[in-house]
Amino acid sequence: MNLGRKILTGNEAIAHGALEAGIGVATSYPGTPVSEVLKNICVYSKCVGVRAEWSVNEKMALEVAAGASYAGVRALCSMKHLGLNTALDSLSVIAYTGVNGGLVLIIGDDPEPTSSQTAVDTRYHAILSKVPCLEPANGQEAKDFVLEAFELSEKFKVPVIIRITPMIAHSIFIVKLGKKLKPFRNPKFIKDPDRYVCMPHNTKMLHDQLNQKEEKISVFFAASKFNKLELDNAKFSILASGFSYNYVKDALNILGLKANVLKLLTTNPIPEQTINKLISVSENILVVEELEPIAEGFLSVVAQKRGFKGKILGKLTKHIPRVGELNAQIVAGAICSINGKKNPFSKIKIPKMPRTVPSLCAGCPHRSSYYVLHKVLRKLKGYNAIGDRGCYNVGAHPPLRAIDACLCMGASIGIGYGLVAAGVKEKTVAVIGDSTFFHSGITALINAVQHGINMTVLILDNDYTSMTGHQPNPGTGFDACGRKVNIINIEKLVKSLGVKYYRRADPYSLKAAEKAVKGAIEFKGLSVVHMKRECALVSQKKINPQDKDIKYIVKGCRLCMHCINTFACPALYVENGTVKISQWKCIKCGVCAQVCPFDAIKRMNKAW
Amino acid sequence: MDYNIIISGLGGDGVIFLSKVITSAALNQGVEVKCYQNHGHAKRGGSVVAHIRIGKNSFSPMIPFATADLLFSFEINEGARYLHFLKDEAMVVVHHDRGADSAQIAHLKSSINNLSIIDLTDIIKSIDDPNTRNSAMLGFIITLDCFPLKSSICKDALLMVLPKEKRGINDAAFELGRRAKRQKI
Repeated sequence: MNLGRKILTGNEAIAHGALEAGIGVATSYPGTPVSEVLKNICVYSKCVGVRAEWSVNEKMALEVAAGASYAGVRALCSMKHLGLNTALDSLSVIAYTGVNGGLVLIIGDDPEPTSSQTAVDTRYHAILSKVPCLEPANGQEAKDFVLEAFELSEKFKVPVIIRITPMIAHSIFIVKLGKKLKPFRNPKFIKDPDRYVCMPHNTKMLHDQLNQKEEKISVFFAASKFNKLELDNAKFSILASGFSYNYVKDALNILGLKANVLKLLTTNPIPEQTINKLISVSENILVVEELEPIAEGFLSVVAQKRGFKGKILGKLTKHIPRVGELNAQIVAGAICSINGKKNPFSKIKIPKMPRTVPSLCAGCPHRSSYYVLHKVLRKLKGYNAIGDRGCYNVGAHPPLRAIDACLCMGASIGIGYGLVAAGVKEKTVAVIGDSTFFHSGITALINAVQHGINMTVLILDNDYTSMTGHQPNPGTGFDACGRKVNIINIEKLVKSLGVKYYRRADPYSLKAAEKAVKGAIEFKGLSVVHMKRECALVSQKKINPQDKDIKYIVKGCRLCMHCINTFACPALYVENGTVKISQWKCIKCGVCAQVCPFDAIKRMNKAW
Repeated sequence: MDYNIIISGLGGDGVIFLSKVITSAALNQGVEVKCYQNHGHAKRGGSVVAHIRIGKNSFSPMIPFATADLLFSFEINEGARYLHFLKDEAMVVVHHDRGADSAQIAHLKSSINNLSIIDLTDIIKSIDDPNTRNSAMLGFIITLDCFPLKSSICKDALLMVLPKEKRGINDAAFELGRRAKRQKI
């Protein structure tokens, strides 16, 4: 059945491509911009024939996918660029052992970055692990490349990376769809210890094989349809890598200029023969690529080998900035400055508008957790609160300023431990979410317990991986397909490690929560407070119809501003000399009524 | 020439929803379309913007500066944020329901030649559902002379995207928007 042309986001197109390729296993850990790949695999397949899962972390996701591939089943694994840092240990070995069923990784880079702590370039991971990397430039290619990548992966027995950016992942394109393939299901792991057991004696051989594969893939790419040299009878040429091709074409259209354009979509290995062709038709070459000047460096090397007389221009020559995501204006500016043309964008002023700062949601249970924690900590002589990734690093924004440092997934406990190990005298508290705790916080907690470190760990549990769209985690109770699965009990887990002080608290009950936190801070040794309450974005959809009549109002406000400055729920605002509650935003959690020192926030029934 | 549209607002305004409706309408009308969406922290109160490019000569879903033909926004500041994307003769429609003239409106008036300010809350006051605001906005937009998509196709796309029980009130809001008078600036 030909489904014809559909409106799809890049992520949806990739999910459809995976089903057209007949995948049997799909794994992922949520991360912007690729969280919707696995979600849509579940939607399109209705979880029939495909085993889809949100894994505990990216390393686990990749290992599950690799195991499936060893057994001859096609597997797709998606994660953000930073997730690949976590999974890199596995990827570099899988590249050596090679794959059996096709193994394709969808990696979402974040060049700006809009929702990541760093802007790592995944192509370096591809180079490091010696695995091929494809970069689609639009939604149709995003879908088609998944099929191509599986073919490539099985032809050369290597994992294949498809690198995308938010521009592909979240944009909508018209995509022509193909037929979904029934998953190939005849799993068999054929034992081959020389290949699958990586040890020094065979690693040298596997390394040699991988190098040979890389050379063959480069030749294959040069002859493939992935890359296209568009000759325009010009002396000036542009190497446009991946999605940047679109900015190059838009910029040339706006400027009304001619240039030869090499659309380079195989970004590792870059085929030397293709580059040779570009060099032979060019006087000067501008390289446009997202993030690091990798193609630019490679082009420079090949150009020197060939005795190229022209200039190679790009990020290394400062014609294109090295920080932030590209756009048509940046590319047009570079083309103009190289060709001595007036830049039409240079006079355009970007309006200066206040940035909207994200905050924890109205009714977020862990705004209360932060409130309680800081109420206790402020009474100490000094303290350090180390945060973790997810919603809770939004708490770093004013006025909460709830955390002093935040590194990467699961790092809060390790960094806190380091402060204590270094001899810092102030009380150290590590704050970590439930999904982050399962992801890699557990290992850090084990390390801290083993070494008897004196610190407090606050687990802010809201039942989901909320920041990326409420994906289930090991504490949620259902899987990617909504099926009931085992729940990992954090309380039993923490206690089994030998933690002497464990308290569970409901952050909506401020007094009890404060008591639990106070006890933990005063405890000599490692203490854990488990703050548990479902994410407010989920719970507000389940409001009891009887509670619809309840509302919280402010009566007799003395404008002490305690609620605004230390609690800062987005539903609270000041107008005409009093604090008010936005009934539109309020989810009736009632915590602000406990926060007000003058009992001026009151619970009312509408009937009143 | 291609036709470029920017839709902006805050989380919950329906920017992403309307961008889906308009891209579907373009597909149904048989024209090429692509759409860029930026909804980073929409659920946590952030700005939301969508770019729609209709036609076969554009490549990136993101509209280059100074090339947008139409901007419509559910909030004055969120409209003013994207003025650098507009052509000189671009059409701008902004929702504003606070009555009194503000500094931001004065700023918009001074920098835009073709500005319409509409009060969606007033337009849909006969419908007791603020979530139908975006359908009224769409109804208003399709009456603009420059808008390239057919109104019947847009309305069909709107109703198709909605769940059955919401179609009735959104159809009504769409019609109210279509009949709304443009406020003279």
